[in-house]
Amino acid sequence: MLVLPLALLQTLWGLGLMALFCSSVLPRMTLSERLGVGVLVGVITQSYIHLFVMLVLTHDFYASYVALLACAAIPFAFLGSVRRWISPGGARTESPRLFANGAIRCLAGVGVLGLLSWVVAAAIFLPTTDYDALTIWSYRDKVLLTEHTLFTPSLMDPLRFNPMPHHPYMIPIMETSYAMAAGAFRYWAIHVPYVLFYLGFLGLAFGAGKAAGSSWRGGAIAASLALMPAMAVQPLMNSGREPYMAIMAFGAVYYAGRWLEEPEGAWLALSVCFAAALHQTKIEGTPFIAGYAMGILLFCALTKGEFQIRKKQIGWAVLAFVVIMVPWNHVSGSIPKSNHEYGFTNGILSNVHPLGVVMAVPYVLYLMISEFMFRPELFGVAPLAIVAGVTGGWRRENAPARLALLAGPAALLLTLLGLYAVRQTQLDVMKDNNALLSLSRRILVVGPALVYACLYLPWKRTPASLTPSLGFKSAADGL
Amino acid sequence: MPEDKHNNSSASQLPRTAVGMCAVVIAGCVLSWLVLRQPALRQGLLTLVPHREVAIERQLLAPRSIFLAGMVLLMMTAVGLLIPRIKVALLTIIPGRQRLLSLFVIAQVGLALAPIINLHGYFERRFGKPIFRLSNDEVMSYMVPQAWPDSIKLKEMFGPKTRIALKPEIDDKYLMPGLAYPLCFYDVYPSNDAAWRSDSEFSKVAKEREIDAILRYTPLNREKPFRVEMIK
Repeated sequence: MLVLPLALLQTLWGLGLMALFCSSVLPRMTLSERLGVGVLVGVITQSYIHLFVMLVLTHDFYASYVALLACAAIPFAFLGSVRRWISPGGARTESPRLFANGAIRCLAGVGVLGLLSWVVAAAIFLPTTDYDALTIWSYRDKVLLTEHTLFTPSLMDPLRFNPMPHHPYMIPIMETSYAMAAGAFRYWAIHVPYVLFYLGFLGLAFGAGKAAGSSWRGGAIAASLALMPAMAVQPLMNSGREPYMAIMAFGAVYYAGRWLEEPEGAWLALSVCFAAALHQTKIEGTPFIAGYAMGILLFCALTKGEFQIRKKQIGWAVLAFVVIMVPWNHVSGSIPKSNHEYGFTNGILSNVHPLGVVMAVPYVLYLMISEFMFRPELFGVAPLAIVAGVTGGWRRENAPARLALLAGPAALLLTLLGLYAVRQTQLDVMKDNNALLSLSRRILVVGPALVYACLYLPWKRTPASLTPSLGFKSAADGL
Repeated sequence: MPEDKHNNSSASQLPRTAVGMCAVVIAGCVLSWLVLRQPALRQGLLTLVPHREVAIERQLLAPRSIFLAGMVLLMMTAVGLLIPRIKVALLTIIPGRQRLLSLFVIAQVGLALAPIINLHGYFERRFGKPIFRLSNDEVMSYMVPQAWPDSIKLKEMFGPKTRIALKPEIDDKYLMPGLAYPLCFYDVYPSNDAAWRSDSEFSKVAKEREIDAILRYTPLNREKPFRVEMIK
């Protein structure tokens, strides 16, 4: 039973990568954030390396590869990189408390523990029950575990009952690694990656809150994210992949925000890591990344001189995206089309009445807004914070960066609005009410990123103004 | 700053201590419970989100769970008052700038714990035991009442990697193939089960794919959900 060692080794790997490649920004993270992002980076990068090897090199995927790559984390410890991670050096200012009152801090802690205990309990004791997770994702896990490759008729024969064959494979690789560590397909084993992701998410949530400074916004970010019930509850009820994507989208936007403030390549590298992982998870990643990329370009266009400072970093980021995206796009193109591609809409550009779509937009917009505003069991009172956050604090100096952060979530929301408006006009889909059931989980993808993008007030720092500190804003900055 | 002035003016209306804010939220939970117990009102609120269809979702914030959230906050506040350090913090006046945030956190904690409590309660009500005493089989048999036990029966009937031409008699055609792996299911079927040999198109595909059996699956017929014809 090697699940726990695998989790620890993947975390160690992530921490080692951070110490090697992001050491310049480690002092500017809280301990919880360093641990959180280390876990996430470790699991994502190891899974992606296995995927890359399978797609490009060996076409197969064995437990020995998982073990070999996991053990590669051990040299990091001996090289002292992890010690550098734990004690990153540099003068550090005292981080502000998110909540001034000790009783409020205790209460928030109890809430976080309550949600975390459910995530762990549901992962261990309950099987996967979501339809898509059973028919698409668990099926892929079983095939990869048994046949050790995605290049098999079980996943590529158009006559086989294999729904959505063009969905990417990073999460199945991730889950299958843990099934291999458990020795067999077990529901609890394939749930372990989400527990790790959730722990990473909590670290990032508190880190993001602290980085926002001592104003109310930092506390609201931390409370909205770390106490968001949807991230704990949705994996069981309604969603296989979307909670993972929500965390990746949040990571991409959060580190993009830090990069917009400080042009350090390490921030952008972290942001790109999460954005690329989003693309390798599911189709919703694509419009999000398109918006995210356009947001960065918009920022460079609206702020004088920023592109000159950052063009090299942007060039490297584009190259990294291409290297990561091309293998899967190539393999996906070679998978034959089948009758088991669920056309989300029955022909988005044909078989549609434009006027009907336009008339459906207000209703769909209402559904999307109601999903946020009238579902406290999923988002708590975070929507109120979103409204308060996005309507205030606009200034000329922070507007380009705020727009850039909002671009990714906005692009995905607009895409969903268009798709669901088309779907509403297709009566045969409407009859079985399936038209609306998936809306909750798709909105979840954008939830945490939207919370952060609406609440955070980025501010511009030149390299000369950077100090080796956590760089927290203070109330004196007027934010 | 204008934003801070607004915060301070609205915050001055709020209770000044954490214990006061907890009392406000607890009172709000109890009042909401009393109001939401009205069926017509509850139904009206549920229709605000028309796409909330799945039963377990509709029960996540049932009125009793809002009441429970209030009671949990009450218990936590009471316990806090017994611990000297926390008692001091509960009774300390919170700075004006932090009052709205503090109220936000208290409400968010209540709304985070309520669905968790209700989920535990959901499984207790359905299965009569807590989740740590449930087996996967029990949960899956409830959540997927036809395909789960049928997939187990099929795996017992056929050896692994048996190739089966499947005709599902319902719209959903993916649950059985997903659950019954490593059985291999093909989306091809003869026009006449008994006379499959005379169906040249099917025979050609069956030969190419080395199909072993044809299976007509009727999950809603619980007496005889399978009709199997071996072709090899």
